[in-house]
Amino acid sequence: MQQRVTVSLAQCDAVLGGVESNLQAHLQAIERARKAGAQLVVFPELSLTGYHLRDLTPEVALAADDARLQPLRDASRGIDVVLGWIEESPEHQLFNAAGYFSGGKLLHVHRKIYPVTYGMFEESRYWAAGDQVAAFDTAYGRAGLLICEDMWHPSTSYLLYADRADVIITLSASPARGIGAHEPQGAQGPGSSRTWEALLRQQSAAFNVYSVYVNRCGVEDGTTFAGGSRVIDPYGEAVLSLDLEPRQESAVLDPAVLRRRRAALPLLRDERLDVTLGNLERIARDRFVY
Amino acid sequence: MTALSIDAPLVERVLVNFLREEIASAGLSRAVLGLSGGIDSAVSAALAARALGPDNVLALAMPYRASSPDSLRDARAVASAIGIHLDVVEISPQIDAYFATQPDADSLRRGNKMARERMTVLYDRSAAWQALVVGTSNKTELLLGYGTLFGDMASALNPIGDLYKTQVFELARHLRLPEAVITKAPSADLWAGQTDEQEMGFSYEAVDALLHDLVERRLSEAELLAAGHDPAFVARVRRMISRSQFKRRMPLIAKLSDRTINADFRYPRDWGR
Repeated sequence: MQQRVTVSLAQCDAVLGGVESNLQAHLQAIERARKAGAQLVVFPELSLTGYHLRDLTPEVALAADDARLQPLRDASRGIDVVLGWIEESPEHQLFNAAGYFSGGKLLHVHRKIYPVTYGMFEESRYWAAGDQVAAFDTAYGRAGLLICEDMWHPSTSYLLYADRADVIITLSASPARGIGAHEPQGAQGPGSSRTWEALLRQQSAAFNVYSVYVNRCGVEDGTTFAGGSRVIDPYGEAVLSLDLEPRQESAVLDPAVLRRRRAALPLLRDERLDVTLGNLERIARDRFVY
Repeated sequence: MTALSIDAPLVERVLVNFLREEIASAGLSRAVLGLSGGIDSAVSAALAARALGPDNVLALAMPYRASSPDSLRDARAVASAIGIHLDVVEISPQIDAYFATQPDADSLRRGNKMARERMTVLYDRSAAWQALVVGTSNKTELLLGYGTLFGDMASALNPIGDLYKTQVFELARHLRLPEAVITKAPSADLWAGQTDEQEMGFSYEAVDALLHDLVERRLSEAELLAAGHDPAFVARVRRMISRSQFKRRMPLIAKLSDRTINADFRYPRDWGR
């Protein structure tokens, strides 16, 4: 990581299927972030379209080079913007995608690797699954994107770590679930938010990265999104935590903190990609018949 | 504290916001609901009043002439405690007019008819006042099928349908509802002296403990018995849940086309809002 960066977490609601009004809300939030001195603003999963799309999916899908995204490309001059939308590939596959806009261009696209299809979720019915996890260079350092369920598979965080990411940005639309009164003293929010916090702390501590997590809030089809957006430093400590309600706040990611942590705990230096790769190949050979 | 104990302040926050946002996304700002004098409707009413402001919530008490006077008294106490307006709409004339032609109807048919009569009054008043009908069915009765389809089960949105009855009690105490409503025995008030627990033959505490193990924790039959649940009780409750599944779904549509509503025509409910 080369530079300090102020990241603005745009924990927001979305109009379901209302791309045009959501886009206007994005432009306003980007402007607020700019005025607050941020160099990066992050929106939640499917921030441009809303989450419970079902059969609306093909109706709101946009190709990565669609002219309707031009106002967002333009808004990314002077501030980097991460947002979620339904990306239509040239083959007309529809992906739950996160886009990283910078300097007037779409710098990187991450397609959700693990569309969730169990319990209340039916994502694979509607969305194709991505297959690439890659870090990329930004003005301040190396970043990687994940979308919600991706982060429940530590392999994705591991791949970004192996790819030398300094910052892992996770966009999410996670519902508030779990209302039991059995949580430890001082625990805040629904059970699902506490699990997210544990995952984010674990990711930051184990991989020595900054974790930036932006979750939806608001209600769609009876489901309340849990908010709880966070920035966790490479020690696993919270720098910023938001509550359930819509909120936009900033935090600083500091290369000095990352350097200090990695100097004292050289996990990345000692990481044995060859061991991981060799063993994964062996395990895959044993488990699958191709 | 039991396995069913809830973080009541968090539940209140989520449910108040749910009512406010979902009613707003329908382009409306008001709610109508039936206030029976029981705990479920009292909790729904209190949540609606907090979400929309008491002036934007209209409660209707809809007694039949044989209904217990205590029910109306308790409904008034709830309305006054949470500051919402209560209208009393007698349903005796239309019920009596109908059953004059059905002299053999038993108390179940009569009770169901009354529940559906109340539903039509609520929907009529909701249209007149540009409001949504807020539901008052809890998770225990929804799972057991202890409600009238298209009667008290009908609503536009239901804040308490994912709370077991004992959790509704806990939320009611947190919301500081009148003591009389919290302490009295739950009753559908279909005939004098009726109570739910007497009619069903088990307590809400016992059935909620079982439902929690069966539904939330997904325990197997062997695990349920090991947890101390009576096998005959488990079998009976399982039967009640499966036999009432139809009440929790939309009517069946015979499939003919490639795009049958709900089967392959699948839009979100909040579509276009």
